[in-house]
Amino acid sequence: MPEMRRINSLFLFTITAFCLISTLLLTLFAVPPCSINAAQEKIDYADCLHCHKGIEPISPDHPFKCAVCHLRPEDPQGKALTDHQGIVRNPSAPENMEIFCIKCHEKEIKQVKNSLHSTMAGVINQTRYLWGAQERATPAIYGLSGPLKPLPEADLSLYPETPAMLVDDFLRRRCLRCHINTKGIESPGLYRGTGCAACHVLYNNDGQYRGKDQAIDQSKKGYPAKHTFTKLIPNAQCMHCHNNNHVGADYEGLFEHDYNNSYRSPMVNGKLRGTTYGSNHHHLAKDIHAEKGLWCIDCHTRKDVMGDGHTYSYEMEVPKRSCADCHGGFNNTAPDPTNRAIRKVSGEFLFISKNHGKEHRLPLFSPDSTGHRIQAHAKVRCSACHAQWSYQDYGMSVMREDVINDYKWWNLTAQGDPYLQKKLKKYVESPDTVYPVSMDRLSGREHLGIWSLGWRFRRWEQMPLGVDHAGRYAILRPLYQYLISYIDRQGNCVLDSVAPSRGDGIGKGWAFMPYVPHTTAPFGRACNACHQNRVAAGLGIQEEITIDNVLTIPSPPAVETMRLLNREEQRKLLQPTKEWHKERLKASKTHHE
Amino acid sequence: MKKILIIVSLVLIAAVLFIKEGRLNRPSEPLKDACLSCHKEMKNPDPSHPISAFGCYTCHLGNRYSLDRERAHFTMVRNPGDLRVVDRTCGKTGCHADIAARVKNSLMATNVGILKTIQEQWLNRKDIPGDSPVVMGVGVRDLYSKAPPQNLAIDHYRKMCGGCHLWKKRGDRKGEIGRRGGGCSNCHILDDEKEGEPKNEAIDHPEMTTRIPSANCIKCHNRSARIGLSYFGRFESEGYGTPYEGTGLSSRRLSGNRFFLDLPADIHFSRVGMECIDCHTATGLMGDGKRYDRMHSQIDITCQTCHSPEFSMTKGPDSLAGRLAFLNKRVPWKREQSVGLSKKGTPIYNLQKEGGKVIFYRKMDGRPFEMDIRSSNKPHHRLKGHERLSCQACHSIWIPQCYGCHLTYKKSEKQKDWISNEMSPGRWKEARSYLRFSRPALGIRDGLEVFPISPCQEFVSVFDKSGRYLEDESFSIMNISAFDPHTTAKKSRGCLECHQDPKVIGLGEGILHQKGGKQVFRPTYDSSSSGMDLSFPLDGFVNLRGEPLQSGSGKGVRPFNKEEIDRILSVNPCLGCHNRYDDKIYADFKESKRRFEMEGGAPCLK
Repeated sequence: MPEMRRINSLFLFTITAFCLISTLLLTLFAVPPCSINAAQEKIDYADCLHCHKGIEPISPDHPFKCAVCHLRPEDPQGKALTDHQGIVRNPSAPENMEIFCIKCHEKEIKQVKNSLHSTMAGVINQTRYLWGAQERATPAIYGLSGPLKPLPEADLSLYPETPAMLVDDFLRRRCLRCHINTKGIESPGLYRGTGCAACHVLYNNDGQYRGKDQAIDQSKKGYPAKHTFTKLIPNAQCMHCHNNNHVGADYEGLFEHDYNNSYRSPMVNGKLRGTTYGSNHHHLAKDIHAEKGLWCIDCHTRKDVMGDGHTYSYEMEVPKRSCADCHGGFNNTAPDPTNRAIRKVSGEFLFISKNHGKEHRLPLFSPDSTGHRIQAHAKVRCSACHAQWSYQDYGMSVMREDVINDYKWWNLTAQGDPYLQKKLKKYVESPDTVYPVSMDRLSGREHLGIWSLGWRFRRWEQMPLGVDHAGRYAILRPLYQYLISYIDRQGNCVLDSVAPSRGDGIGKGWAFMPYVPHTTAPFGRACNACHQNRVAAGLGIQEEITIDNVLTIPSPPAVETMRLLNREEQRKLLQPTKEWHKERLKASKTHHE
Repeated sequence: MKKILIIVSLVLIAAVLFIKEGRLNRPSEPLKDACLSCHKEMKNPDPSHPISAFGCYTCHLGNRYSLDRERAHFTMVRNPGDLRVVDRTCGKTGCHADIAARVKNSLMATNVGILKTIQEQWLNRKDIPGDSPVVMGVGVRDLYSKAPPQNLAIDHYRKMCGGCHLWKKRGDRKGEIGRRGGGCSNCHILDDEKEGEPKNEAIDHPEMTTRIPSANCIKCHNRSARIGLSYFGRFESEGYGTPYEGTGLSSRRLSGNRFFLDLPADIHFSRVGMECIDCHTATGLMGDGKRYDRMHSQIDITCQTCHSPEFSMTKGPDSLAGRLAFLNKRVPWKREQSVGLSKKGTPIYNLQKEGGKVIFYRKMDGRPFEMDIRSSNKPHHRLKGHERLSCQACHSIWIPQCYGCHLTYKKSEKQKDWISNEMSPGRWKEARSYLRFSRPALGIRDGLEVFPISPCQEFVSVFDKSGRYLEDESFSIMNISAFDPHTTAKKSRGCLECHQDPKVIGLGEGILHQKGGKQVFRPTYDSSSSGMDLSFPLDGFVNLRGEPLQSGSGKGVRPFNKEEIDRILSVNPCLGCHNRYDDKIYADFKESKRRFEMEGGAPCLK
């Protein structure tokens, strides 16, 4: 019964939001065709569909009039409709959802507000901790919503002298643009809505409308693909945020090109490929699930994505569907029977994808395969073996400049952020001294200063191991190895490539974090991808250490319950026993026969 | 009247001559060259060419008798090392005639290898439009002729490569580029360290030396294979310029606005501080007179030259070794000396045998190092099956790798031509896919030697004068080249690093998996989705069927074949327990394997 209610309210919520959006769009785009077709006629703004002919209904569950969602309750049919002003364009936007959607979707809104998609607690608290602005990363202290303390606004009257004083500004201008409450950047791949619409209203990568509403100019950018709400969310929608060398993009095999202009490649038929998410991308092996056509939402359920009401501090802490839930695992070789996407047909399991209901044969955990025979591997995350590659972005140097009077960024204006790229390009090309401004993504206001960043080197083939919060072995990625520079308005170098110190003073603010690369291969990597492998053991890629290759040696994670391999684990990994070698030999032998 | 006029004129002329001559600074005592009346305090270029003995004319030509500035400098050559005049200067009979002739045929002067390879690669494609034949044997000097050979590949050479060879004029630009070229002077002149400080040209003769500092080599050898960088532990980076320094980017810069990272240097440098010339001999660098088209044909040293050396007794000061040692003045020399021999039989005078000890002397300061030459007898160097391995295959720990070189050629734009030193139509621009400094992949060189390989992959897009893309003229070429990375380490790579690593075998990064008794490979890089018309990954030089996917850029360079791949992988399962080179199963591995299979895995699996 409560389940039903939840579903009902979800539908209602969706419906309302969709209606609001549709009305908005309808009204917004009614003007040009009307004025052409009936220049003489006086436009009746109350009759939305007169102009918005053909607009698609927002969803079957939201069979409302436009005004229900797109007009504020205090203005039931009146003023706003004398012109387009005052029409609520996105009723599900954070500032509107509590007027419209909440009527039906109170619970969902509350849950979403507590979810990491909304609080961004992981990003915020870990970065603040690593930059020395707070004593711990977990439990979370600051967040953008829910019960957490709001992230302080940059105090422009202060003269920042430490990383701790700069971290909120850095987060606000560089990191938090990917948040369901902040607007997407107007650039290919990044167009999206906010609030509920961030996920439930689909945008094409080009930001162009492809529906039937005649009032909308299809050549203009910045519109949803259609005036519809959906729960069937394809990967491209998630990737409007989950891009640029973050999980999500790896699922589709994307790896950002290097920033320097000399990496704008390749030419295809005489043309440079257009950029998506502000970059060109290498295409690497896709996750096998992506190869088969599975969507993110096939694994990431409503609870996982929209929250369960609990305020989590970091991503890995959120309970989610595991590999074993579908494939079985060391403790249970059958799929989770409560999973409604799985059906047993004549002894075989089928998985029904949300992607057009396609059925897939569900391969089960094979207890006899070499890696699975070893009971010790029960403590190893599936991804630690099955991930084919990983995001290893080593050495992040960041610089905030309040004045630009040189050309150093000339070849480096691409920053994985088209908004900053445009700004930086303008500043660099100016022959005069400029006092750059850039946007605080949370407040939407521009103020003095711009953050640029660069890497030492970025790789995909190295996969060091660590231990996650639940004591399982997992692949680590650098998040991040900061060196912070700050140039004030007078051009003084206040911070000169400073490595920050953690908030509790236990060490440098560099961290490697256990994570789950979404680059699953149908088979695991070879034994020696971890065993007898110095990179996996955390010793770095080369024996002789230099200031650059040292970056491949992991630093401890930012979350207390996670850790690097200890000496004993390293030793075991690097010097396997005779029994281990026998297992390895057996494996090759059985395969040969 | 007429007579008077004539007399007056004569007297006037006589007077003018008298006064003019009288004003010239005539030396009080007779000098060999009149030049020195002005260039009085000119310092000696080096002890072997003292001005007191040679004067100036011998090297610089001009008019040695004139005391007039204009006349004296007429036909003078500023840089006697320039190969255009060298036959009358350094290379004149009685001086270094043999060397000058050799140098002109050497690769640093001809660049024949580069010109041949790029032409063959680019122009020997089947479907090439228009008439653009390969010009065989073309060398740099031909490009300076009145009607130089022309084609797309040569145009690329002229604009992208032609700034690094001995025919290039020295001092034609500021900075590193200006220091390149100039014939003999390219190497033998010490570059002025204090750039920017005004030099007193009247007295500061550039210093000449045979103890050539590595800086003179690196000014050129920092592109392409980047040997001059790798040896010193430098890797040209992806250009982020990190970490930032003060208000700017990193100061770890190379010419051309490039940046580098610090990586492990070659042990010969990090441990022993050896410069390039400590290994590279006069014969290897200046050639033996033959016109080679590959670098490693001209080079006359190998690792074995020093590490399992052959010696020969030399006698007297007139032997080549004796003369070289005399010029060096740091490496100790006795009248009778046992010295090492290069693979071409030329003496390595700084490798000497004394009383059973093998001593290597650094050429720059003569510091001795005793060599341990017994390692060639150790089991790891005598392992059956490893006979074809080059030293570099195991002892090179990293190699610079550049995947995907994306060239655009726009006929509508102009670019500086390094040979003509003028702007000419057609502009090249380079972009890349990605770089790596990881462990080297291995392949075969010369059809017989296992060697580190690195990719050289060109994707060329050509545009006509109106900016239109020319599909017919655009092409791509996937190459591998084999070279010594110059990243030697004492500790070799482990057995597993080759015998189970798909990247090293040449398959590329990815997962090598056994499925139903068969090997399958799942590559990581997806070239075609990345926009390149290829069915294999950029780092895939060969597939599991042993079909080469990328070809060698020189003769005899190829990835491993099927048999080799199978052989390499077949050792993998055993390496867990049998991890010593002297393990007896390797004495006859074929037989060991047979036994293992026949006897059901015994005794290994008991």
